[in-house]
Amino acid sequence: MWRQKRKFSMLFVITLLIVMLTTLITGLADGLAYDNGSALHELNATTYQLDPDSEGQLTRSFIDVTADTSNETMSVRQLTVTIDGKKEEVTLFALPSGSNIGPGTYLETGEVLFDPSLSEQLGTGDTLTDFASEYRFTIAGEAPGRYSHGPVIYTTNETWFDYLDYSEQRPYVSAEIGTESTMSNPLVMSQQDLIESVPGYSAEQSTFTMMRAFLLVIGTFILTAFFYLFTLQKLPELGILKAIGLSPRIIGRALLFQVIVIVSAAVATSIGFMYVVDALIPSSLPFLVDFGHVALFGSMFIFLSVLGALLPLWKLRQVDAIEIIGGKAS
Amino acid sequence: MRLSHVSHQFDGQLVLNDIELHVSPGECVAIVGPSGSGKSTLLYILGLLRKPDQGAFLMNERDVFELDEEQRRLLRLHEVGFVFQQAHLIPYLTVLEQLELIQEKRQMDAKQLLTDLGLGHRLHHLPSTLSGGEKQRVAVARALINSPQLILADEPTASLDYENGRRVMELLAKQAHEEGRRVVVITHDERMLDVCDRVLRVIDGTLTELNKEEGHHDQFDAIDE
Repeated sequence: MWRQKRKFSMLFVITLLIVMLTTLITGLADGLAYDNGSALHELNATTYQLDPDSEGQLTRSFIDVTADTSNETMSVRQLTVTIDGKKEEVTLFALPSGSNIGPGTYLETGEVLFDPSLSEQLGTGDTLTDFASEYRFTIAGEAPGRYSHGPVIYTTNETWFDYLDYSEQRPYVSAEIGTESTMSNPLVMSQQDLIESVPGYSAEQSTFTMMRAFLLVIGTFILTAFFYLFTLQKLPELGILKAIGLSPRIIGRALLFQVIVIVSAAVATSIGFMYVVDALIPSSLPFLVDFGHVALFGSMFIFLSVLGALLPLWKLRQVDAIEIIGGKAS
Repeated sequence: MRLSHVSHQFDGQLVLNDIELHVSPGECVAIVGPSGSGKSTLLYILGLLRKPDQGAFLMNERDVFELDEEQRRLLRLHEVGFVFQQAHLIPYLTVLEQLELIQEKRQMDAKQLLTDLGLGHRLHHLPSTLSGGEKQRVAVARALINSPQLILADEPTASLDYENGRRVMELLAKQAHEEGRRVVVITHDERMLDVCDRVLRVIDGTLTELNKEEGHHDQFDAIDE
């Protein structure tokens, strides 16, 4: 087969395009997933207790702060801030001081870290002003974090309560961290539950998952059809080999080997192409190369292609060698 | 190696009727007969590709059709060499690779075999670059590579001119006469018959031996299409 350069190249290119489309969509889905919930994904905690009325959304969770609260807490709130007179939507993540749960836990009151996507407008020492309350946050540095496709600013709980106090709001937190809760009927959520509850996250990812699933199925069908046609073209040769006594298993293994090599080469090239795309596209585009994720989809492609190749192999088993060599079928 | 009381029907029609055939080592047997007379069916039975409705094919005193499919396949690979009307070479394998693909035991040197058949200078050529005669000689080499007891050839000269056809027939006969193999050749070309030791005619499902020495041309005239 390797000497049939034209056919081989055509099959490789078609396989590559299908796999590439799938991996690019995977990159886009991962990029959007990151853009939607990376601030949550990067937190070092596994269990969160939310207000039972919050429907799992941190920004809708309001837990009264009571005197006996000994748990570590966090608060999340979407703010409209002004930077040099221009309004920006950000999400404030307030985390326990001195903990290792996330960035910014060592900051002084009033200080925040900002997502690098704001670095064109902000620098260390600059201030952000909350539009509603005019509370001023001072920039102490950068820390990457995205929530609901917007930048995150990190701060400490001290700053959070200072902000609430300044804006004359009732003190509350969004979640208690850990398995203990002061609430009688808390909504217990894992980190993944929280991420999936980010508005739009599940709908977005479901759409991409469906697209990838369809691409996998369509790609497998196309590849199976190609390998089937390839096998049909080869039936005379395979029939002769069968007549001679060569094991169908040997012939089948050779065909499977070809499928695996072609699809694996396409997957490897696609992954390489993903890194090139990642390096070339502007950082504002939500695109992320998660090698494990792309490799998983690539492996699924290889696996499904091998399954698809079994159909032509079945055809091969049915070959009547006598018919192929010019006699009447038995 | 013997066919014993072999009968076979095809589409309700008896194509082989109580056939008895014995081929000795070192013997080259030609089979002739009109189209549809059952020659090819006979060859497929000898090649273990078709199981007869009745009778036995005894090889080393055992009926090979009592073996299972896999055992028959192995027997075909090791003990039977096929040469078809067309060479049926794999288009993307070189001459040498055609042999290496099916070579089971490395007891025969494929290069030497090809060289002996006058193809030493063509070892790494693809079939598309070979002449018809060369292709058929590669097919003969492929049939010989596993040192089979029995060589079956189905009109091996049909697609060749006289000289190339003759060369192929002589090659096959040489395998019988010098290597002690059994060779069975179906042919329509009576000019090739003299290289064989016996000529058998299949007509109406029966096998009769023609007298090579005494005017078999006349008998051929009677059976030719």
